[in-house]
Amino acid sequence: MMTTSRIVFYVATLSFVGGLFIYLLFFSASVDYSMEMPKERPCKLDPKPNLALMLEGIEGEKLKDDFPYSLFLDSLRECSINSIRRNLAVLNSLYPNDISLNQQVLSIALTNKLEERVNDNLRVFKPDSLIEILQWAEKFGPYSEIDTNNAMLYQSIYLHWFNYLSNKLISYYETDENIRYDFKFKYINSRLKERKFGCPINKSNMEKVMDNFVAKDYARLINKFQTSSSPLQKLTILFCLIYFIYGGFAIYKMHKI
Amino acid sequence: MRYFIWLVLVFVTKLLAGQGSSGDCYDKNFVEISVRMHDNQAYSMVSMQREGGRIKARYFAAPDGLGNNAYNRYLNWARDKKIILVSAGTYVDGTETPVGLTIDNGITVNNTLTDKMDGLVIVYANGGIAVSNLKNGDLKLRGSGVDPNRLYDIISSAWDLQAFTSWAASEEATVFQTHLLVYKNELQVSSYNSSQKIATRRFLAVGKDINGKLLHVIVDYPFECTLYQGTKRVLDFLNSVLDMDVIFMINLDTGSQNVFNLYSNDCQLNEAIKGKYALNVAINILAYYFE
Repeated sequence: MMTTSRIVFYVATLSFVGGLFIYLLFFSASVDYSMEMPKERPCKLDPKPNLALMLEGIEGEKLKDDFPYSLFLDSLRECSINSIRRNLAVLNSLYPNDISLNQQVLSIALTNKLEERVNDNLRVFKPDSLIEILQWAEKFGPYSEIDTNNAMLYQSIYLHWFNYLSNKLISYYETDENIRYDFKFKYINSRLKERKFGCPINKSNMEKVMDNFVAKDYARLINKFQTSSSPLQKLTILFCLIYFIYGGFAIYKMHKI
Repeated sequence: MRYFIWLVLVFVTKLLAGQGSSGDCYDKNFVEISVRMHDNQAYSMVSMQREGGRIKARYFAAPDGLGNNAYNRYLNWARDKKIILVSAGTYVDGTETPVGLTIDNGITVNNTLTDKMDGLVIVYANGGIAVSNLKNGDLKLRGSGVDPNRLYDIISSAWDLQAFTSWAASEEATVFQTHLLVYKNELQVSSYNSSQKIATRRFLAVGKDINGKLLHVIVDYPFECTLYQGTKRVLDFLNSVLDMDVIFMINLDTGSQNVFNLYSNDCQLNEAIKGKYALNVAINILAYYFE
């Protein structure tokens, strides 16, 4: 005959292990571990937008407001630096008084106006689209080092899109914290981090505890436990300790018998 | 004999050095450490007068070229400084990076201009602190190659953001982003747009007293509350008890970097306001000192 305390012990152990197993099963099933990255798309040189035609009748002072951003983006193969430089040359020949303004206009087209186009598609996490943006935007960093006359234009595009990606990751993470385990999410986050675009993706308390265990930083762990945990958490840990000590003792006793 | 003369010299030097400064770390006429009651609650505060520019602020977030982190840089720098207080600055993420755009002496620590925090804090080389409300898009810059009358909108304009980061690098500026809680004496947070997390709070408020003198005040609010509740109560305290017209108020991290050391004018640690953790836990450090 089993005693009541033994039955309670078995039931509690089974519930604990079963619950943990079910949680891990559901959790691991909900995370995307796919490692296949979208291939980088080559830039095509054609068609060439006829910018001069688009700008007919637009005066220099109103260029920023009246520039046909939508038409321009429709016709532009915006991934090509040659295309951007060609369009800048057209602008500079038509409006030679303020070259900086011409750069600003192209900057607006390739940042805010282009963002308006892609934003709707990215309300939910679409990692492949984000990676394509990253692949396109990261080239503007080296462009600015090579074409120093237009460095400001390239840098503004680079900064804008990396900031965009970073803020997007934050918003996805706020909607679903488990997204941080998604492989492509981690990939994009690492690429951003590499360029000093940090995303405040926090570790769970359990992860922090595990990190401290792995780093053998027991003093910090004990200090944090003493100062930061609630009375309920302290009681839970105490209960777990008693449970495992009692469990160990019970197994020892059982085998001894 | 020679040893005796040397002892006398040391004694006289010490005596002379002691005169005038009275052995003080800083002039207590510029700093007030007190506990004030308001609505049956005790508010611990440090009030510092910026008039005359003798009290200065300094911020650390970047490691130096020798691998010293912000904490070690602070220690090296603080050796010959008369420190009034040292605190953690803005929040940090899980990888121990300050959240939001952070530039330390022209060195970028974090490029991400987060859209979650409206306050951009600029710590000037003269020890002054200014805050821009990024939502207003009216940031003004001073220094080489910038038009001082131009208003920069670094949230909406990529061009302006690039101009700002170039300016920060060339001017070796120090900048960090944080929650702007009060701006021009008005609350910028509500219970709807701020965290509902309950915690103790610590704030840095800059404003003018009834005589128009510029004050930097740190208020410790040791009662657990939401960010909005704490901000509202502390603003009310500053307005009604100190008669202070608050220019801006920001939050100092009391989470994973709950670090705060306050020193009395005799250079001893003052327990009136004390952080939970040792200073080496801080990833970014804001210090006030007397010169």
